Amino acid sequence: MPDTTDQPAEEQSRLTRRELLKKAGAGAVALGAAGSTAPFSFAGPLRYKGRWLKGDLSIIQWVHFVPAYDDWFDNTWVKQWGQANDVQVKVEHINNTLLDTRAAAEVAAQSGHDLFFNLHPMASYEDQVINHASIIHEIEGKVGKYGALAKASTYNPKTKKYFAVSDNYVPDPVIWRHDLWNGIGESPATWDHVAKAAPKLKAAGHPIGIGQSQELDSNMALIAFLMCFGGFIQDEHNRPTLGSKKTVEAVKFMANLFKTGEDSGIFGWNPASNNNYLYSGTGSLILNAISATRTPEAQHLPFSDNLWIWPIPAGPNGRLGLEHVMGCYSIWKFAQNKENAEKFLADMCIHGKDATMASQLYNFPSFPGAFPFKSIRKAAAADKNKPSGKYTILTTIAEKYTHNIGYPGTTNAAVDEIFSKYLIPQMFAQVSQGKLSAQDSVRDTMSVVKGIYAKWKKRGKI
Amino acid sequence: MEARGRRRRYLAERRGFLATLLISPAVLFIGILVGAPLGLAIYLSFTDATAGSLSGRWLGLGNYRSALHDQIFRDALWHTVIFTVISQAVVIVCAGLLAHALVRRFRGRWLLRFFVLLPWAAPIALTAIGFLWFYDPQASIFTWFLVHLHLVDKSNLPNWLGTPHAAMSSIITVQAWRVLPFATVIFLAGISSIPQEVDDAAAMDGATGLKKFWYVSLPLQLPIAIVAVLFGIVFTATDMVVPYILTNGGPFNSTQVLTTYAFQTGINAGNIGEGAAIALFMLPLLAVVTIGMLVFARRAEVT
Repeated sequence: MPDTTDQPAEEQSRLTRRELLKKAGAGAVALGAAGSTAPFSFAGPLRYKGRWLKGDLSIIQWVHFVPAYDDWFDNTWVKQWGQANDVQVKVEHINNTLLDTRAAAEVAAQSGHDLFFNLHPMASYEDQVINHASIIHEIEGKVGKYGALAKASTYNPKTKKYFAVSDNYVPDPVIWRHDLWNGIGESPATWDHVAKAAPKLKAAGHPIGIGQSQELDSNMALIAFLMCFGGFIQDEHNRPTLGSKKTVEAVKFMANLFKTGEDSGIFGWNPASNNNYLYSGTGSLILNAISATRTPEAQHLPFSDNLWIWPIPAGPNGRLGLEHVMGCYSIWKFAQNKENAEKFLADMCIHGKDATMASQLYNFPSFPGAFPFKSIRKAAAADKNKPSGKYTILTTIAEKYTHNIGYPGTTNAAVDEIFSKYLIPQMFAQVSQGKLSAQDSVRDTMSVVKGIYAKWKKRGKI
Repeated sequence: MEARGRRRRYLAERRGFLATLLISPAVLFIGILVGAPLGLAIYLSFTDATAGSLSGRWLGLGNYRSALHDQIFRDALWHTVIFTVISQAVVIVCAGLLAHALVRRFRGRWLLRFFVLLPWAAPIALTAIGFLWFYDPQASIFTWFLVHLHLVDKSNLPNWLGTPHAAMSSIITVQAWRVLPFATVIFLAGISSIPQEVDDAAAMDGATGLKKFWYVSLPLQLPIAIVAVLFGIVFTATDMVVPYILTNGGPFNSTQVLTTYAFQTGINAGNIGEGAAIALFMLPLLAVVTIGMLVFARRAEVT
């Protein structure tokens, strides 16, 4: 019979929870400390020490709304560039809504992709990225000046730093059903025309489709609409100016437009909703990029030939639109392959024509010399979709009516925050739903906006 | 050699040593994956760190003070309470009814149990997107049914996600639907664990129906039910998927909860310090709720 009495006496007693946790904690610390002193104990030896990422380049970007673009980018452009430069290029595509989260994660980890693409200038990450001035100067040496829109979006005049390089932007036209508008003898040339036509169109079962929801397209449409009425988030010196009488007038006008000519569904929209509204045959007018016309064309929807593209309607302050998205590449300070990233980015912008054509005229080059408007107009005129030559207007929209978010000032961290918090759609929606008066809504929003500006000014970014 | 083997055997047989060795990786794992981010979040909430610079200046309680002065934050705090309390009240009632129904023997019971569990197994991002379509202002299947049953007027269709009350009701419904299976399973386990003798004794004493439920079943079920409720509260108050996907906090912040507002402020707007402070506001509150409920569960334990 085995002798069990030689067990240590204390082993017979039960461990209390407190004792167990204490011991386990100490054990965990010991294990962690042991792991940290032996550098490869968890990951194994570094087999390629001193060689990794040499001749490599990693890129992260969105899944383009025009699939043909990604096909060209991944299978033609990247392959050819990689072979020509002896660089192994890896491209990761993620949904556009995840880009901000991924950027934050890469900064937190101080590790990530060499080239980070986003659909808006990441002004708040200025301290984490290199100054891209030399890349811009190199491109300018080959194809001419950086576009004013791109400069206003990616340059901080306060710190004199280019925090990104924009390779492209997307014009944001108004897309409307010619057959429906023609039926009531109207066209959306001005916002007054839109207001006049809206009740008739709604009565005919085809309301206007301008969102007032917490999403991208509502944000873009309403900020542009505001500018047409002379309401601006900030002035040319980047000082907040939202709380003006003109803003109040614009908010009242939109609330009235909603009451007479829109559906209440616009308050719950997501970025795909206005497209679907148009595709369903219900909507008579939306503000969106040309992906909203390309889909009906591709699907041969019965009214696709009746989708017309025009510049944003003119308001009391004229015709002032925004880019729909601003494609920007940034190189982190902690990127492993900065030189490769810089060369790739420069070559990409120099060959902006290929990208514009691959995107079916969705992307416009941020360096206009890479594919001059005249040439784009020619390419647009060759588009076979009806009405013939409808895409040629995009060059006029791009050249004359497309501005940066924050116009007449520059895009900065405060504007970015106002945009990200959907303060402008909220300001409009609470008046349209009768929760607040236009004056109160604008006053409350201005008070929040002032706080945001004060904060970023204190941080030295404005 | 032999001495070394003896020492190994000796160590392996020591209860304290073995317990420490076995549990240490788990503690280390939790420490790294939960403790470190939590510690970092607490630190960041006291600084003006931005997404572009993780080492901000020390602000003390500045971010907490500014959050308290922020109307959107105050609304989000209130919405979080409403969202959590109402959805969990719905869950408790429905889970109780379902569990009592599912504990009985009937044909197809297993299939029904499987269907009840299904929402728990499905990835929430996908199901939330499914609900986004159900609530679509144009193509809502709910609206379609209501119109065809002549319960709503075609000219005045419900706007599930576009008006404040409807949007809040919509996200509460989806959250309750999501948590219900887990609560039902826990309730079911609680009911099943009640010995048959107790039921027999209750029947002998003439306790049936509601009386039996109130005086016999409920007290016996309570400790385990509290675990389900506690889990549901913590899970709902700290989760952002449903409001984020369905409304993104809209219309005009009427469904903004602390988690979505923290995400919007910290990640989208780049104010990591403020975002961390907003996110951490629920921590002490949830800790108090958790401790309170656990104490209550211990007292309610029937031995």
